[in-house]
Amino acid sequence: MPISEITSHLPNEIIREIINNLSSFENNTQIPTLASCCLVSRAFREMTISLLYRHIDLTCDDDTSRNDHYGRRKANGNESRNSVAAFHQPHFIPRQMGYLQQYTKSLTIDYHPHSRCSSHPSFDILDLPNLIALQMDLGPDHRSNHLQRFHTGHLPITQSTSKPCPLFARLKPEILIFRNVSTRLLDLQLPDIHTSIYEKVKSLVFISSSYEKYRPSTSPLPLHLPSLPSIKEVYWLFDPSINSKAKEQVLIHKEWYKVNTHSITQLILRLLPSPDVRVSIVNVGSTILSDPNRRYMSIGKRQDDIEKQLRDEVWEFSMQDPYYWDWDKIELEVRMNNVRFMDLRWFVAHAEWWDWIEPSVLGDWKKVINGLPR
Amino acid sequence: MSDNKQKVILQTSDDEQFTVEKIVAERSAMIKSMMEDLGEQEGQAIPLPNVSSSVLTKILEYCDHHKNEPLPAADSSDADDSRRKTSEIGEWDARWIQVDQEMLFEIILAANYLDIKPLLDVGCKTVANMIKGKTPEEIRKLFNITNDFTPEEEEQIRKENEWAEE
Repeated sequence: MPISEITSHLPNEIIREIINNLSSFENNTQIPTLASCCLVSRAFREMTISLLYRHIDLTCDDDTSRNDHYGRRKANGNESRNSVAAFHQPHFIPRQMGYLQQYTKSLTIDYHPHSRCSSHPSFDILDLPNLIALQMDLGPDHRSNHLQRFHTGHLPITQSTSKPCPLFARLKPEILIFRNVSTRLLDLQLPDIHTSIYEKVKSLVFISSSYEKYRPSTSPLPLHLPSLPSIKEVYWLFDPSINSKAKEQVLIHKEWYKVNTHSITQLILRLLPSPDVRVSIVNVGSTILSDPNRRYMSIGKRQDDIEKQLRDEVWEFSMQDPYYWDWDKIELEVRMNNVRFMDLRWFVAHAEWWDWIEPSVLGDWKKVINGLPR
Repeated sequence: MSDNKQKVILQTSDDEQFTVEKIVAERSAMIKSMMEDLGEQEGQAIPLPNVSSSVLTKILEYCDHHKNEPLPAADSSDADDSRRKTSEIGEWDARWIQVDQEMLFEIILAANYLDIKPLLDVGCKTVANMIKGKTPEEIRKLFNITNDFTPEEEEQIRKENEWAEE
């Protein structure tokens, strides 16, 4: 049978299966390929369009200030995201708005102060009723002035209006992922995000660097956590692919570049009163350490060591915290069992939201699992 | 179990007969259920009118290699259709599926007909890799599909997709 005859016998369910497999590609190949499939035929378009708009990435990648902190992305050179600028072109058509509303389940965006916001006018009315996951990149330090960037990509700052990003006003994700979180300061009462964004959040995920420039003498800043009425689980992940500059220097200034557990300790203390919330601390591990058993959080530490250190720290702080003075200590210990420590392998096999992590990041993590250098 | 050594006869579209171990043939959910229906009728060939001998030879290689793995649960893929496909093609499978395009599509069709889910998955992943970065025209050629858009529609979609292009 000639090939043309075979392929025209392929049932739609197989073609659909093939197209579904495209979503495992990294975004920079996945999106153009899906766009091509949309143009093949009516049947193809029908099978593809929901995938094309499934995940929208509005982070911008052209800001040179990112270079230091996103060495991975720059070094790979394969993360160009034209989508950012294009979504703000004048020819952005109402039909596309409809696709976003209908199909978008996941959105990635840079956090930005509202003085930098110059959102497309259409976003004023944009809600994404089918949104499941919202990923927000807080940048190297979300309190600093580095934030010259925003989801509008190339627009010069002078064009910005002074209202908060309208995108944030209506989004109600179930899974909220903060990437590039600092362990020095955990402030989620961000002035430019309406608190309604937290209303439906069931899973709150923090992805922070494994290493961070941190002087032990610096007194840690407090934790600002908004009200989370629907929260069920909190994850904290240490991802070595963040903050690659620190990674290079980590061997020189060991004492400066390490994980400050203070934020996590504070977070655990804040969440302990809610008996139904599980806190999971995930070690992605770093490949700069040759012994896979020692790839935990801080340099050369084993998971057991760091777990004990953290539990001790939580315990110590709970003694100082007036909130816990009246608490039954046994009850407190029982609640501590809601805090789990897990390695990446277990996490990848069990966590449901990992489906929403970008394939290139997952690729890095898989290499860590396999013990390969990145 | 001695049961595993039992043999089954499979008959292809070009009337060739293959005698294979039951455990190998059972990789195919379709053959498995046929064997259950037929019961203990020794020596009776199971007809596979949609599979040629060359394709069956190839597929039996796959089934033999994976014969000791657990069978996938029935209808396991239905629930998570929208979930991202993340598992990669195994090393042996990747080498095994290095065949020409014609054979690849024949394998996929046969895997679908014989209901061998993991094999269908390997095939679909392989084709997905083939269309990576291709233009609409190249994809049409690969699947032998005619463009049924009007020029106006095509223009409209092109405009809509501008954000997604490389």
